[in-house]
Amino acid sequence: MKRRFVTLDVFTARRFAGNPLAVVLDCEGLDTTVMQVIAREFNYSESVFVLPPEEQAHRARLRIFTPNFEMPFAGHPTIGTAVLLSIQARNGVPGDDSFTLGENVGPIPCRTSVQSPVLGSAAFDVAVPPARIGEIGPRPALAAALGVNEADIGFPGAAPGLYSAGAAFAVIPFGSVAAVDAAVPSRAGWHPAFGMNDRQSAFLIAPTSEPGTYHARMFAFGREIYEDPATGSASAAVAAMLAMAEVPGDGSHRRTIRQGHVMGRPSQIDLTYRVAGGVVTGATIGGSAVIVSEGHLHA
Amino acid sequence: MKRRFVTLDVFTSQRFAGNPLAVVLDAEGLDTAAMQTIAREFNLSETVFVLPPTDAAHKADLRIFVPTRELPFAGHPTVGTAVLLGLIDGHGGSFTLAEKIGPVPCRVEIAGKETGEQLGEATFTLPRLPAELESPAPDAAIAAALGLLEADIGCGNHQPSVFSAGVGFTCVPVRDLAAMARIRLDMSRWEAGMRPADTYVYTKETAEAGHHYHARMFAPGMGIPEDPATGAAVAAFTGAIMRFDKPADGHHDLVIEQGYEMGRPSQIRLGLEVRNGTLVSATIGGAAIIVSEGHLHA
Repeated sequence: MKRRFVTLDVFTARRFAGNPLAVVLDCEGLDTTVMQVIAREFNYSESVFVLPPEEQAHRARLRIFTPNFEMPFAGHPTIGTAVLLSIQARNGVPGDDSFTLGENVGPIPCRTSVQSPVLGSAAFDVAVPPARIGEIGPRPALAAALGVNEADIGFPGAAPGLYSAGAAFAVIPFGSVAAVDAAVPSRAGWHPAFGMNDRQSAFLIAPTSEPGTYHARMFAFGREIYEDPATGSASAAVAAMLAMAEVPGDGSHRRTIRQGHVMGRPSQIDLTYRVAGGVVTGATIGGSAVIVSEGHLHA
Repeated sequence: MKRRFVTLDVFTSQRFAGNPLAVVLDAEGLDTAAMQTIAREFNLSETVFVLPPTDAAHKADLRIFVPTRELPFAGHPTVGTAVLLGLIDGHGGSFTLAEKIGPVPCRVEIAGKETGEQLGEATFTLPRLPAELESPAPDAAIAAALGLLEADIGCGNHQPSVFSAGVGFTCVPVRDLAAMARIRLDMSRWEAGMRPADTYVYTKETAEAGHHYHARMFAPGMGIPEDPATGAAVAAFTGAIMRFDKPADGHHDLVIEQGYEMGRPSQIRLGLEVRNGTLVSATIGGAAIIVSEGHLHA
């Protein structure tokens, strides 16, 4: 049968930048195996399958697949799908919308704003407060894995470590944007630095000359080392490290994370983290998405 | 503006097997940079842009891009695009596609009219016959790059060789399917082992009866760790077949299987015309099936 799909570029308002996403609509009757096969066919970092809501109060049920496995939750698929569903619900008429998406991790409340029939933005609160949840390898091992000088690692108050807001990332702070851009990750050095299991994605981040704006790159270890142009879940996790470095006091703190520049797919992720009693209590991830293509899939 | 595109799986009649291809129709007005950007966005091994023919005797001009650069010629884009143009015509036939390498004569047959599936078969004549390039690296260096033992290299009288029929490949025979399955690329040793870097590994043991060779293709330098079906590699490999198998005068039809280790089984048909012990022409053919259709905003 024919199933509608849409592709979008996410965490950008400009087509052919940001992180590509495929969203398959009309997914009723597709089993897990077929969803996985379709995600592999699209060959994007993630593909989303939209199903009727399991809870009446929700807008839709989403299932998210990389080409190799299903994810409990992911940032750029949530932003891209939320923008698409609100463009459809509003028939492309500019204005705001809010609804909840059901993902494997649980309900994700989203706020969206439609700018045109092909462009919008969305924000959602992460389900788990950002936290530092473990250690990663010593600095010499990190430097070897990332092909950088050990002296370039670190900025004041920021400690490398395993951070998570639902999905764990090895976060490595750097003193300068140039040092982040110079990284050349090596497969041989990867496991000594980051371990063997789900600690295989590294998020490199440095402050820029603009206050509140950071510059990041994300590398995932797979069949080859893969660079991701925009990673929402890592941007949420990093809030725990930024809070330690910035010590901003109680309240809500808005930051901008730029990613994907070295790849020629510039992306902007809006991060807001909340602090109460000196502790990070939550984070919101936001960004734009633009429709690139629309069609039918025979499946 | 909105431009039509179609994606197909090529060198298979089964959707979600074979080698995926994106074909952008209505490509007029797109410059090279825009085509490259769109090919990167599709993120498939190849994306084709179909343009009106420069020469009225041709069916169309094709430009073929991998995510990082343009190719002069490639097999799975030729087969997939020929099938698609036949499906759009609603009938089979013969026509010529103009690629950067030159005119490529194609023959198309449409199938699936009874089942409603949009699929067909296309065969094209190689625009260039294979020629031997340099000598390959020593067996030990090739084995190290593939994560194999030196004893795994070679199959019958076949030895590593380097041929090109437009795109150069290091052709590496290995002893059997078990050695094929053990391949683990070692990028730190790739440059020393593979000149040229694009590597076609093959063996005579096959996964399916009636097939003649089993192959895998690795082009990590092009951003393709492994490709499920590679027509240009089969074109180059024809040189190794002529050198080592020395087929008798006459016509030979061979089937080469690829992509099985990736879970994307593909079958490539190779036709050889041999006269006086010399290859005088060769064809590559296979099936293709439409997977998706839509519009691109570009």
